[in-house]
Amino acid sequence: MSTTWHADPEALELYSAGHLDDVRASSLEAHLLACPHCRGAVAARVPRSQLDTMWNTIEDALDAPQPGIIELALLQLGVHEHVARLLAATSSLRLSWFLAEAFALGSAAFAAQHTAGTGAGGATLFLFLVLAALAPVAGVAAAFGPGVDPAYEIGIASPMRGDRLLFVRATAVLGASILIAGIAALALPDLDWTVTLWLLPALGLTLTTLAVATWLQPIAAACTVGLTWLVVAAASSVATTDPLAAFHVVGQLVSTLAIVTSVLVLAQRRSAYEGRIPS
Amino acid sequence: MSVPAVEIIDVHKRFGRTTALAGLSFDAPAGITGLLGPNGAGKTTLLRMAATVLAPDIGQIRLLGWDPSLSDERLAIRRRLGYMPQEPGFHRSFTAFEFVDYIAILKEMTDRRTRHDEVRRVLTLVGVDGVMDRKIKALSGGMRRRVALAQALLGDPDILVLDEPTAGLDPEQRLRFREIVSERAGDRTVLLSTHQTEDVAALCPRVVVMLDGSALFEGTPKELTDVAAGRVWLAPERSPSARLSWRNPEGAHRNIGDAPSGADLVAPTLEDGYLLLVGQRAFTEEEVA
Repeated sequence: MSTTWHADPEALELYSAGHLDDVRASSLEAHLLACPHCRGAVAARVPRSQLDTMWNTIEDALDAPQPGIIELALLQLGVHEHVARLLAATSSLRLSWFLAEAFALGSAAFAAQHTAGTGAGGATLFLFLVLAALAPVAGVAAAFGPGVDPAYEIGIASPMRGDRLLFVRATAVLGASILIAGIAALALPDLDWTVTLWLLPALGLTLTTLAVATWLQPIAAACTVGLTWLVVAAASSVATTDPLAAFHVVGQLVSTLAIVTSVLVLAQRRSAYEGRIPS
Repeated sequence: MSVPAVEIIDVHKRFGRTTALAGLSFDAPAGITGLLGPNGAGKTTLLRMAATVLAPDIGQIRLLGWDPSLSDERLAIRRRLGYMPQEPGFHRSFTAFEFVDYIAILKEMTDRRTRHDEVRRVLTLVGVDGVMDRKIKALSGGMRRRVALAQALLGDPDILVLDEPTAGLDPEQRLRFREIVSERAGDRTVLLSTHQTEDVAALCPRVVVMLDGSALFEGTPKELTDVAAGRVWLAPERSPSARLSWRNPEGAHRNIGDAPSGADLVAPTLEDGYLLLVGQRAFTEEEVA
């Protein structure tokens, strides 16, 4: 379809600059659909930079990859898109990791549920609490560092500080682990304060791992802290005949002390995360 | 006179019992400096130091006039640095676009639109814009190296550190690589390690030959070629005085070494000069780092 008349040049000028009122713009657009000559006249009047910006916007909308499930979930939670992309590159913030963690904690909770009131009840509850406290430690170890971050060497040559990257990832891992363990805890036999006893040890162990990782690589730090924790928790339950001794008053106090000490160490030594590849 | 972008001053580095760098010193001014050397010469160790990811045991490195051992100055260097390691690691579940976008975020490009434009620019530059939405794990080795080069070019850095960038590339890709790097060089500084003497001859106005952690030669490709002037000759058999010798496609032996009198001397190549310098160790040493 074509037309025999052409739009007023002044109207085209105003339209190209975005200053034409809505009613006249709507009328002009109807004409533009049928008139190649006037479409060309509009194109000639629009500044090149404005066309480039418009094209880039369209290209960005079409070409930018659709974020994955975790990244989408983070965006829904209000996480900034560039932080969501940083987190999406974290091994321990993948769906497979969450499923494995949920399976381990769910199984422990299920066992505690089915052994409640029996001789094994205390041991299975102990198992759940120990696992819940260790889950974020494992997640943090898999969040950053040589061996777990494939682009680590490129990353440490970049200006983003290693401590910032690690703390952002560690916070996300900790949050996700607490959420998963919290949901799994709902399956425990008695929904009293017992099911929250792992929270403070989890925080203490995670921060201790981060503090130790200023000397050791994150995986070595997590193994050291995790094994120490297992030995201490098991030994205290055997020595006191209270299966949950490590989670009661003394354990909570030690956890609090570990949190405070670790925060002080991290404040002092966080530059150690700036990154040097291991020899 | 301006300060060279890269200054290496009496740098030593050991890994356990192995000496990677033994008192290495040289300057790299603007332009492309090629590092040649056999495996184990210390090229990768040096480039890691130039990329601020490894510190020397002894000695000093200055990049763009700054000291990378100081936190603030290291940050300033990293803001103007592009680095492609010898074995770049990838988040294989990312697409090429997502991976380069991720590195762009690490390079402090937080505005989404500007960052995406820059990611597209570098991916187009290295010729992988057609596959940028493919997962890295689905890309060929050559494509992955181009993605690794793309991330190093983000932000048009003043210093570009490239460790074996042409390894695994086919001839056409290597030519494309030369085109990209030579276009980018200008008044920027490119440190490039390679085993390919053709790359050095084609690209680098300046070459450093490394052996056993120190610089054996510094100069232009022509000066390196001239090392072999009068020391390359053709003969029907391997000559006893030849340090290296091989049969060429015409059936004659190309001998490199101290030419006997009356030898049929031929024009040397850069490779001849290099081989004469490093000798047979070029084929026997192990890579240290």
